Amino acid sequence: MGLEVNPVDQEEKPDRPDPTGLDRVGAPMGDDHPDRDSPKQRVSLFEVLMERAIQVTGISTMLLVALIFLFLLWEGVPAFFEVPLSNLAGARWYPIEGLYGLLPLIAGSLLITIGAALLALPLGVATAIFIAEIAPSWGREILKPIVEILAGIPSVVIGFVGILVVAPLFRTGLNIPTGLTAFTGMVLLAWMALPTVVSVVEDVLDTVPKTYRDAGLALGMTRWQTISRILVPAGKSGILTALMLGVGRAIGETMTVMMVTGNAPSIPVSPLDIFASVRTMTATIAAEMGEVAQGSTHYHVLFAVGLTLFVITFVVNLAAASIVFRRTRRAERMLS
Amino acid sequence: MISRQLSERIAFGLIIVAAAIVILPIFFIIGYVVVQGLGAISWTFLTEMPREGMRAGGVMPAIVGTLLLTLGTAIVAVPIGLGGAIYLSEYAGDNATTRAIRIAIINLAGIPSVVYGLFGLGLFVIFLNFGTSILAGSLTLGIMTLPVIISTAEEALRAVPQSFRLVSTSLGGTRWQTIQRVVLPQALPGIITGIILGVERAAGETAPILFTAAAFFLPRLPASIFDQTMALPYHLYVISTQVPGMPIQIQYGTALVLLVFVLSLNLVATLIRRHYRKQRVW
Amino acid sequence: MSENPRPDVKIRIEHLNVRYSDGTESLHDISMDIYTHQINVLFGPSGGGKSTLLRMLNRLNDLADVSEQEGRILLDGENVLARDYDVLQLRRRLGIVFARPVPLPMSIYENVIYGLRLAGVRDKQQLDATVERALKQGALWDEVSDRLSDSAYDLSGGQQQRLCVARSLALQPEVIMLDEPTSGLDPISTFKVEQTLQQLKRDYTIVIVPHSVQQAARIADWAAFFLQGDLIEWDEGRQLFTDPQDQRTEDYITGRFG
Repeated sequence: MGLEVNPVDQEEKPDRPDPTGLDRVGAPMGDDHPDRDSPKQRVSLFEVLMERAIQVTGISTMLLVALIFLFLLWEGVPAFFEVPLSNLAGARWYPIEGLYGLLPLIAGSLLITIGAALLALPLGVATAIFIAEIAPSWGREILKPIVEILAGIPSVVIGFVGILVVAPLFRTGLNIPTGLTAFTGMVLLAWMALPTVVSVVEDVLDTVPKTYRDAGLALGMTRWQTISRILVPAGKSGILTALMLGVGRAIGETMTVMMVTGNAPSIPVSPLDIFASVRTMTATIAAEMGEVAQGSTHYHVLFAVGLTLFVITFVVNLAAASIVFRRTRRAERMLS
Repeated sequence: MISRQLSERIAFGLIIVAAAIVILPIFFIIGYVVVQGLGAISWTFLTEMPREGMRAGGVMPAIVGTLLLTLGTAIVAVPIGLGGAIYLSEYAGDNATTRAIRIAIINLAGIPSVVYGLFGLGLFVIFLNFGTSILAGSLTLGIMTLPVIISTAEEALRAVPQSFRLVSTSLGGTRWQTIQRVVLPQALPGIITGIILGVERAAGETAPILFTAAAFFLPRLPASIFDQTMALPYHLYVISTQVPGMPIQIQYGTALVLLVFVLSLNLVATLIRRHYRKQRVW
Repeated sequence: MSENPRPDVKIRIEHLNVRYSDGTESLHDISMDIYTHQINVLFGPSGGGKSTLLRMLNRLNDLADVSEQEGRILLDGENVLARDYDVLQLRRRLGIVFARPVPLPMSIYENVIYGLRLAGVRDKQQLDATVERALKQGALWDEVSDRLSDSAYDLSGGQQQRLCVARSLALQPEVIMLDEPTSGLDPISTFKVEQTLQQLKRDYTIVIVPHSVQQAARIADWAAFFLQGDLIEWDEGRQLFTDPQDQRTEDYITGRFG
């Protein structure tokens, strides 16, 4: 109802001829807006301070990222001077003996992340398709919040249930010596990354114009053909974004991984090693930082690991964002 | 060749199975923790200090600690997050600075929680010399929560029709008056929802407080914001992995308390959103 | 041009040029006057720059993406486009009503006094008196006087539009600008609004973008015909609608295009 009396929606594009001309004002006011400099205006001091404060908070987000990067550099870079590169590039992580080989940690993180992504993507896309296209509308109303609840379950709780239920289940089911393996980590991590994947893919499916669906059905395609040949290809970039964000989420996950993967720093060599124990970069930091002396080599190396994680997630998220940005730009071009 | 109807039936079947694989365990995990943990919950469990090396007694200091950290997170994150959202929605032009801020926010959202922990350790605990404390933990969690609050609040602000701003301006309103009297009140339910969701995530986090705030065991309640504190997520981690011979009941009970705390925040956020979406006139 | 003595000039527009950053709509070298206590009509096909001109007068276009503007708009002899002009005061002096009603999400009462509250008026008696006066002038008082605390969204479309008129009147502006105020209304509501305008022009200066040529002809004391950003013809309404000087004006009012 409200929409009928509402002349301007945010989404209205200025390129559509609009007799009201109201949408002209869609663009936010720039910083050089004349209102601000007019000395004659009775703008109170409070307002001026408020606007300044708001500006500062906006800018502060950039400063925070810089600050985080700076502190990781500050504490992490010394590691590269204190530990020979051959040591850091080594295959053994054994800090007590001064062995800081990062390979097993990186391999562990990669293995679990890739495994989780491979599991999460098809499940996530399928769930999104189910929620957006197949389930009746009342089902959608219920399912969406439920998937959101999953995002809210603390990772330590999932790790806890992982130790007590999932790991024993895999141990007996797969007949392996311990359930605390890379595989257990992958499964739980995939499941935890699902809310991200589902919501991104679902958003994308939502933005595919309804006419595409109608066109498909009008051509005599079945609903499944419409979904698989029209909707999913149309949402390809969104699915890619979801994959990136899911990877970003998985590689940074700490508590669950630390609790269920057994934490043995070994490099997986054969495919069967997914049923062995691994240790990730995140788990290493979390497990060891509490016990190291501040300023020690071990301390610096752990910060260097954090720095590596920061750079990886930075790149992954930037890539995901650029896909999104490109998509909106293309959408804008299409509309203009 | 199989018919199109059959292939559709197979595809939908597989999709439903996949969706079930995703959704059913959610019920299972919550149900399991509730069923197993309910037996441990009692008045004394909620209100007493842990005893006998945490193998008996309650989890009261962890509950209090999590409440304090949650509150601290909100105090840190709400003003900055709200300011950032207002800036992006009402002030920022389409320029390089704005794009840089957006990239910064995306990036903040993607930083692993344990890296936030490292940052908090480096900046707040050591450099600013706050020590392992509620203050350092709240600041760390607050910064981590910013992107959630900024993006949800900005979305809520942008949803307010542009025509309201135009009318308010045409009646002699300054930009801030317009924000204060029309835009903010209309966006408030969405903003509150975002704040709760952000804080909820912080409440359940362990990694950022590992080295910034959390105490393994503290025989008393924290006396000031410069004290360390116990916290539910860290406590659950400790008793489920670090303490041998831990009665399973206490572990489940702790998990249940944490889960109830976090999910009730989630529920409140959902209810607020539903309630106000129905009431909205525009 | 008409031979009658001209009324007092309220607003003089001199060589106004405007262009938006996206290059879509613009005004080219517009020069005309807005006369006191007259109904000044700006009409022409859509996209001609009428709404843009209205928004230039009270500088509402400050909010939009204007890339270029030159020329002067003199309100009682003072250039409102000057950088240090008091914009907030200007907007109180030039009220505007938009094509579709935009009640603010608050009560009828609060809608009417919104501008006064912004200006810092707190006196309850003054506010009450203003509400009654403005709603009476906007021809809405009889319909809503017993439910002022109801939401403005409980009103019908026509009532909402009259509320918006009353909201502008509450600030006792000198000029009221209406941008196709009846475009969404039924004929009876339209008639009511037009009637109200005839009463209002005794106290105010009216600038209106009508929603049809017929409406323009019905109400115009003075009329200006705009086509694609150019002011084609500007004259007394009687003169312009009976004996247009420009072929394009004639084509448009006789319905040959537009």
